[in-house]
Amino acid sequence: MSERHETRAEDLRPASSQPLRFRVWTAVLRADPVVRGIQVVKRRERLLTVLQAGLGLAWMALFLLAPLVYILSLSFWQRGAGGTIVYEATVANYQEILLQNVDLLGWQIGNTYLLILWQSLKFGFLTTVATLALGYVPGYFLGRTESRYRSLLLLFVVLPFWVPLIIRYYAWILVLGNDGLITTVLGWVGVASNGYLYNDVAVVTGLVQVLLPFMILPIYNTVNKIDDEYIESAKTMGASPLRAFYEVTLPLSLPGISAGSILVFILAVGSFMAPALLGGPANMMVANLISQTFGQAFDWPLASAMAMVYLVVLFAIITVFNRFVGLEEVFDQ
Amino acid sequence: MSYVEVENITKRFGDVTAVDDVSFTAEKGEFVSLLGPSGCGKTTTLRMIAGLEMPTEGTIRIDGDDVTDRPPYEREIGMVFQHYALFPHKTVGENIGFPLKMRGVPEAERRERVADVLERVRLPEVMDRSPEDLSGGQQQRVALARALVFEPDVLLMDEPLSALDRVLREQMRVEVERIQREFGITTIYVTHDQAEAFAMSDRVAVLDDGRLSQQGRPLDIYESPDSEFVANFIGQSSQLSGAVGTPDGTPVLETDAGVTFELPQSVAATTGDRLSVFLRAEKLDVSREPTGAANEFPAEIATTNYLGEKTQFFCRLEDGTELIVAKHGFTDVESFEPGDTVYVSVPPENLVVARDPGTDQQSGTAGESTA
Amino acid sequence: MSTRLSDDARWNAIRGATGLLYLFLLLPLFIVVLISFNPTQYAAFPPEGLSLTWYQKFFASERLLDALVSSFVVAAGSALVAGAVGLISAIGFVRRDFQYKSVLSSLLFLPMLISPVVIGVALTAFLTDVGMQKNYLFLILGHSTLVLPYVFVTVRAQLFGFDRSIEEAALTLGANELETFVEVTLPSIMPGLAAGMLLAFVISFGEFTATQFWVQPDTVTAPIEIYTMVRTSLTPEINAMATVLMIITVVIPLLLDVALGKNLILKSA
Repeated sequence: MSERHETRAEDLRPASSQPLRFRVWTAVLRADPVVRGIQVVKRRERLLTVLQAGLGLAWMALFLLAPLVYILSLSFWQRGAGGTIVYEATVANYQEILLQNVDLLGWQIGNTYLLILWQSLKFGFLTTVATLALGYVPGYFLGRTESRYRSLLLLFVVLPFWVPLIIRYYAWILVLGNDGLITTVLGWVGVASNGYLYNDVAVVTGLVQVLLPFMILPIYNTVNKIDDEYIESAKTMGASPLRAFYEVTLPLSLPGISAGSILVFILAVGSFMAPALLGGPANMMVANLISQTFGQAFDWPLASAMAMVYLVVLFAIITVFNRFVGLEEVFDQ
Repeated sequence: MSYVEVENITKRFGDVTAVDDVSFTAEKGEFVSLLGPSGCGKTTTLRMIAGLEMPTEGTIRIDGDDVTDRPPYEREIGMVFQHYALFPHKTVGENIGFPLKMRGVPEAERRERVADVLERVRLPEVMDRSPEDLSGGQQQRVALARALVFEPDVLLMDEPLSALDRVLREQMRVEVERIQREFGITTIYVTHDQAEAFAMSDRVAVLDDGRLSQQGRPLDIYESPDSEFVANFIGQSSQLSGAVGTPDGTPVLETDAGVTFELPQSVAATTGDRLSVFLRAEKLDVSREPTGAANEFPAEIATTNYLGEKTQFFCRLEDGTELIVAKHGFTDVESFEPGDTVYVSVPPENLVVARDPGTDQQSGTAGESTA
Repeated sequence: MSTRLSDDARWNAIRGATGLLYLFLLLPLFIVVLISFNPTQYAAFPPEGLSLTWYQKFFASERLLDALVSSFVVAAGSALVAGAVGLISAIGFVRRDFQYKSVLSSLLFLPMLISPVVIGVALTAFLTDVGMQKNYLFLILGHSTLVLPYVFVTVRAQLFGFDRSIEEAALTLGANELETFVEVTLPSIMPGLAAGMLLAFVISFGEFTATQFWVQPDTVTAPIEIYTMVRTSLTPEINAMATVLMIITVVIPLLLDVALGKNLILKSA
């Protein structure tokens, strides 16, 4: 029996497949017994690092950073006749955004860019508060429940991510609109109305529904990680259930709350579709203004300047937030 | 020339030297253990033999070939990992067939040989199961089968039994040994468990803080440890240091703790030498009355621990030094109370004597083997 | 006894609130599906019957079907490109050590945070300036950028939990680096990669905001058609088309997941 195995051993040995280059390097480096081998490995590691991590970074540099730098330069030029671009350096676009009222080819925006930016931040804030108020309890429930349907319940929080955003906002037209669900139901009890669309509440409602999963999931994650024993030991030391929640669960779920809040806030501020579908002209947000200026007024330089100001505000928010909670942690949630 | 030769290997990670100038050998078919506490560099040494780490300095030869710079897949070594490292997405059969597949063995022959090796590790009929459905002991056998199926030159095992509970661990210890003998494969085995190393190995190399402390047969290492570390790490012993004197013409050791020891005849000592004696717990005797035996001295009971198979007595000498005495099969434990005076004795030939390397040695350190 | 009751009452309140929230999350979508079977011209309540009229209209419209095909081509292309780039860079970020890693990795999250309008505008201005036509390739490059973070994050999470000793085992068993990657690494991180690519597919499939700047009449995608219909006529065909889209992005992946028995989706959730 063992004879059979011994005869095999030789056949199985792979022929030395060291590439010549590798062997030469090894031979050269062997002169110095301290570094040989390690040098070869280090060079290969460095090459792999450049190739692997570098691929994603190069992609982003080419298709995200380069375009942003391009519109940065665009923002210092001017719109010419018929949507052409006059290549003459000027800060006129920034003056117009930051100092004057915006009047676009007869569109009655009736407000300055800054007011719309302010409105975006306000919607963002309201959305964040509302998602936190609505999302904490479900996040807590999912984190603490022992139901065997938990992964199914989680799936239903995740599934809306897969539904095209436009459908999720459109659905609210069917709920809040003229012949929508709410008007109809209220009609049965004798309350007449023309629907509830095209106002701040409709826009924020849409944003809240769409962004809720971004709040629920991080909260679920942190609550789920809290060891039952922490809460139980708080109770054995005399804390009431409410007190135990306040003293143990809530502080330990703060990372989830902050991660969810920053995500919801940033995504809400940049929203285009909620105001476009559920709001009226008065409920416009920054993304809509940029879109109109770029796509309908064909004033690319002005739109670029608007985008730049938005980006500055966005990065300011991210930077401030980064001081308190690392952005890395947000994405680890 | 030995079959496996590890020559002066050193491994530095940045400023940390994990393995420091270690050399040892293994003959063909021999079972060699690397024994030491966690962090002593034994696993790093094994990983260098496997090719998973590159030594900073030194050479590794297998069957006369210098393999130091070869990647693991060109070394013909079978390795069993601490947590088995079975591929979770492959069946047991695919796991064991993997090294054969990598060597271009046709599928039909692969199946045959996998079945054969499963037979030899006494685990037939699990070929198409997922490794995750197997018990810890079964996974262990699969990992072993996978490392052996391609008849490698050397089998490397990294604390393979540490993830098992005690009873299973002892069963698997016997099983691993049987399989190793049956395959006749040169084996290097890493463990922190002295009993495991002693039971299985032909030879043991003890590592301490990256350095090789001692290597030899289990019997030699136990009976004549050549350093304080080995004496304390292997087994349970207490150390007393002192100077040699000749009050009656024959040299005796007058320890700093106040106890005088008659030395074994094999020790050549001259007056004034600084020596240490290691007192193996189970080689000491304890009694209520003086018996007149050699090297007898009074002590006070500090604590007794009844452990079932043996009873431990922690005895305090006059200067406060504690000694551990272990008696096997001792049942009269309840008659010994803390504070009682007892008489401890040890025959001279049971003393392990070592020369003090320096004068900074603390006398009377009670050592205990780290679990 | 009394605290026990109040514990239960409190938990029931939490459960009830959670139930209501699910209603809030899912009811609007359910209404879209429900009304899609309503035969009348108006999206009225309650539905006045069950009919497939609007589905017939939808499937008879070459324009809408073309849009569906466009969406599919772009989403499949973007999932593949983002899958490859995301996988490789996630490996680089998890396995290699280099300076400024955390700052650099936020660069890969950036498309998630910046408004898609800005990305849409910037890429349009940039790529048209370098002379690129607005074709499928344009759309795939843009969408890949938008969905890359999702692949990157999911694969990275999978790699963090990866036991590298199985790779070392493969190396000692005779597999070289490439064989180890193909035989061991890739199958082990497949759940994360598949989940990330699926997410990339569905997000690309439904992307509207940036896409509106990138399409040409011959590359119009399904979400663009829906937006146009919503803004112009609010025809019930929208409901039928929306339902079809949800079948493609939600129902089919779920069925595939169950049919293949891998439960990738449940695992990743």
